[in-house]
Amino acid sequence: METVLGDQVALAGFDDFQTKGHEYVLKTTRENLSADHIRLLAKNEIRIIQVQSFISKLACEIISSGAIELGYKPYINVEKVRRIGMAYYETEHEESLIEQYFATARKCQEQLRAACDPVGSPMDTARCLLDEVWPAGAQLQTLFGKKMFVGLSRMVEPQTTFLAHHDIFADDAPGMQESESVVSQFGANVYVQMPDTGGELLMWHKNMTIAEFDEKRKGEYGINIKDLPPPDVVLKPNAGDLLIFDAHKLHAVASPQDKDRLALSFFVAYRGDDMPLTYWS
Amino acid sequence: MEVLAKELIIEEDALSFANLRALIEHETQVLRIPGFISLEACKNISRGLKSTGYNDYLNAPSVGRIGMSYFETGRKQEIVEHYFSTALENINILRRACTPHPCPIDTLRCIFDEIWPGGSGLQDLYGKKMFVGLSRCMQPGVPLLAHHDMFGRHAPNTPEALSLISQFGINVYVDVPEVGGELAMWMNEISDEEFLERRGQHYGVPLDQLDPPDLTVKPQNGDLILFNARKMHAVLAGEGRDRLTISAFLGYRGINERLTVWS
Repeated sequence: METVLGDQVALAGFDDFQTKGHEYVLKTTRENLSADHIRLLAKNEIRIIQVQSFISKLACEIISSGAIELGYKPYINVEKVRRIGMAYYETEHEESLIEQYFATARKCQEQLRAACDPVGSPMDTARCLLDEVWPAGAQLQTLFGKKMFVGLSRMVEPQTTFLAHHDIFADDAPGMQESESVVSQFGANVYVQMPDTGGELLMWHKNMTIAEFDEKRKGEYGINIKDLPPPDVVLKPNAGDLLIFDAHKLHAVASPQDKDRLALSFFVAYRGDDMPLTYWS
Repeated sequence: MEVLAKELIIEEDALSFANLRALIEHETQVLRIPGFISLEACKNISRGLKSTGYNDYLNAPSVGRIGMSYFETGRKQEIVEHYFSTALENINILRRACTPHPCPIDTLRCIFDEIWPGGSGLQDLYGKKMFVGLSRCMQPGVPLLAHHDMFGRHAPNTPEALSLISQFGINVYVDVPEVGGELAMWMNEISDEEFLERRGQHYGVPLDQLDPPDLTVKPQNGDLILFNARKMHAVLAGEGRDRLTISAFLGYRGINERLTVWS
């Protein structure tokens, strides 16, 4: 009895993250997002760019119901996380899955656009904005001479989490010029539905080697938040916000308590101030 | 592909690498995608554009526009500066005017990037980003005079213009009159010198000084039309109502080079 109660208290404690580390969060708007903001992120001077109200509440509602209707399915390699579209991470170097990824990329993009109708996909707006503000422009990432997919939609259900992990393109596509040339990798999420309680983005400053990460994740895709020190940055996005954050740093999602947390997401690669940004999912 | 009018016009359900390449390689002169945006979107965007408000071109009076065309700069330094200093702001004004719908030019930019091997991006010039997504309003009874579009005339001796192999016009039709407003084209290309001589003091050649056009296309609301902008083209006068479009140019420099867009 005591143990059960103890676990509940501990769980409640872990779910109750206070916002923190906001000196590492740069708040801006869609009209004011600039190349300087992206450079600050690349230089590790900030962790997160928060573009507030990137899309309207109405757009959030339309896209949420469109996405739910399209149907979330579990990741091939992480059953507990549900998504629409396919992440390149899921291919795990397997040829048949890589083929499936590329064969479905364009269709998935069109499906997402249709699901967002009539308000349009915020992925498209975000892609255009990056192309406008970044001096060398921004483009869809290619790999093996093929266009990658962009615009994965992910669902975090109540009482579940995204375990702490870092995203490194070169781990997913090793030995490729496209991945090895990446200097910084950002995660970009547009939140279309947020729980009232929970769902914060959690980030840690300390870089973790792949060896240490592999040891600590104990066979899971990421590390249990309980096995890490408290996060250094805790930010709860509002529905409609776009967050662009340093995905090379360990990051996780606190459990939503009351409803699904839905976001559209992609990665952005930075290869230098004079190089085009590229994006993919 | 459905090929009409002696293969000068292709009509397709959606943009693809195959039909875009057919246009780029001049296998066709006009590529038409009916229903690129919905009629509902046309109605709302038309309302948004009108309430944003049209102003006349600096150098083509009686043609209203939102945003600014690089053509208007006439290579005058202060106007060029104004063009660049308002470019990104104007893109956002267009975006807001289209709300709650996406700006069709945004969708198109992403589709180009997805289907073209070399990707696609916003054109820059003199190290600055250009504007894209000019909206034009043609009043009833007023034609858009015949002209061809040559980036090189407006941005001479720049690597951006010199590297261009061909230039295409892009129009999304938001509100078109039931009668008139056709896109007209002439197949024989003329040099820019000849064009400048023939147009005289006008921005283009009056239609009555030309042979009948070799092809005309009557756009419908929601259509996306791409065409070879190096051919002489014009818009015939519409009847009864304003003709509203959102437009851009598409620059081609080779299959493995980025397509670029600008206005």
